[in-house]
Amino acid sequence: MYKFSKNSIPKVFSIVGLILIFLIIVSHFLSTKTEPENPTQITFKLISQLKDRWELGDIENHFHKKKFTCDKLIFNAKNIDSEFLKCNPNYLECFLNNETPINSEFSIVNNGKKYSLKIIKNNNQFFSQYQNSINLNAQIIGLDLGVFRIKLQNTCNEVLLPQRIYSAGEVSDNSQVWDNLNQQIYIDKFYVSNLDIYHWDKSKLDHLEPKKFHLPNTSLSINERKNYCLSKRKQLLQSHVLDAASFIPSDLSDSIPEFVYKYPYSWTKKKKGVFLYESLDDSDYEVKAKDCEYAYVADCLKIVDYKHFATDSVSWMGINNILGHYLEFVENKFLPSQNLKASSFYFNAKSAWHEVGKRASWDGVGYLKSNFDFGEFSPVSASKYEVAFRCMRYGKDK
Amino acid sequence: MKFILLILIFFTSCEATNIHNEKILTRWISLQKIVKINPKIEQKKPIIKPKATIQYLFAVAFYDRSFELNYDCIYYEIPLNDEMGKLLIQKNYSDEICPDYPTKEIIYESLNVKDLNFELKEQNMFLSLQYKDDKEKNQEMIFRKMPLKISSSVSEVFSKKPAILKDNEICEKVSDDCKVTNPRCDNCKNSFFPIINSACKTNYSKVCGPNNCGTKGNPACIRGYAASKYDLDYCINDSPIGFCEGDLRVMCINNTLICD
Repeated sequence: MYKFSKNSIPKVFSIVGLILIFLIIVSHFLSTKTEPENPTQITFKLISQLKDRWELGDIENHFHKKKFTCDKLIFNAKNIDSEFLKCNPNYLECFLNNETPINSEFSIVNNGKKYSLKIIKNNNQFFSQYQNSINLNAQIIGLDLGVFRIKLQNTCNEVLLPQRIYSAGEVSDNSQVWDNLNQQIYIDKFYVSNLDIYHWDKSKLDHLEPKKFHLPNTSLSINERKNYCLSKRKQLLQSHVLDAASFIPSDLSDSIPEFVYKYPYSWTKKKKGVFLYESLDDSDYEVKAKDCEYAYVADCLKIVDYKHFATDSVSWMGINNILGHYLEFVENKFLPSQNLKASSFYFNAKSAWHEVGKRASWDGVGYLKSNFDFGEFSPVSASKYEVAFRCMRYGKDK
Repeated sequence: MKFILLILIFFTSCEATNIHNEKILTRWISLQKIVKINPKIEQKKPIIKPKATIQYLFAVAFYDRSFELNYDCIYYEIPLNDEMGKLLIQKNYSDEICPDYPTKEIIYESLNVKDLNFELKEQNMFLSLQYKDDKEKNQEMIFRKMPLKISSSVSEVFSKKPAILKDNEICEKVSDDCKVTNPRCDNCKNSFFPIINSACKTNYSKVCGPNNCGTKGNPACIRGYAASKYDLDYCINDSPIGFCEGDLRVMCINNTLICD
């Protein structure tokens, strides 16, 4: 058996010392393998979490499961699609207020240290609106960067019109041919909502309740609509651009066709079997709930609830609410008086208005039947005919 | 034991030299891209010649605290023997070409630089500075190409903003040979829209303001070359490249298609 002697003690210390040196060297090289991230990387990772929440909205679908209520900010109803919560300042406020079931902290752990993004209220507000974005003040707990501003752009609500030759006007009209080659045109996916107007200028909406936030705005005058779009660095949607976004191209791979063929319905090149076409021929045709997903017309009001921000009736390039839905005001550069997409839930399925490219006229003054020129086709009776609108913009690059 | 302590001191001092340059970091926190790199400067190698001269390196585009796109021009004064070099950063208001030598407002200056090298990649930029006292400052920045823009409010020297352009002012001029000069449509007070005022077939000039194209006295709306199948001089009356509302005619006035 080995016995310790007094002489062996220095040897033990030497061995322990060498082991310690070895461990320090190893730990140093191990630690240099996981380089600490610099403040830029940490900042961007944290802001990416905020940006994802802003752009994806209620990705967990807690809204429809009624797992949260933010009565003062969002009205929870079945007929609102979760698209409404994307790039929605009210939803973000609700989230930051910790009123949703998700932990509202944006944080990361780096090299054992926790960093979190703190949104700082200014005058009791989380954000201010500026053009097409919201601005927030923030700081990072764990980094000495001070308070900085974050701009969250509304990237959710517009779509780029592909560059090709288009033909505006109804199917039989080939006089309004144009192209957007070398031009970027972005179009709003949905109608401008009351919530959009509320954040732009509260004085334009008298006593607006949250339960009306998701509805399309139909109360602004034509000039106010133009001014709203301008405030977002946009302009009112033009009629020929709406047609371009609505007519399904005959050949997507050919952007410069010799002749632009047009089809009356936005979701198919066929006529036969389409409920709108069948209704024209057969007055006994009964509209079904499935039909209303393609075009929400007057017959649908008795069958299914109108769903706001729904993406069922999406066009070939990504905008919604093409045929049926609300009346929509447009600026017509070819034929100025034809400024209204008449296809809407004010006309039955058998109405001839339900074709892409057809336009009626609105005087922009009132909302009674006498303020519109629907030609020989009469709408269903209503106390007022609500007219929605949306914006578009040109991009800088080709 | 002394040996162990010496090793510990050595490693601690290595950590201390790894300092981030907070001032540049906060200024360029929303770096967008590197533009106009000087092709004569070799990356990843110390810049040592020609001695005592100021060399333009590259320019960075970034969003400032007001979310305006800004450009900084980066220069390096190369050391001459015992005289140390300088890193100089000049503010530019638009993406105009940085001059060969800094002639405007220097917003950042780092003295006593012994060695400088940089590396620009697709996603990040690496800037390394070696100082007279042998301290080394390394700065790595990651480009932000997503629509999200952030900017720091940490105090910096910020001069007056570029003037906001009024409605009807041209914010991007395209020449007959398709050269774009002075693009600044971000500075329009409102939106902007394209007009036809040159023979360029692949790009259009842009004007600030609400799109009033097609109306009397205003620019013609664009029908386009492909749609009109027209390939001759654009600047003629009734030019098929443009269109106007109702009975108005497309006229070519001062090389611009106007509705009259």
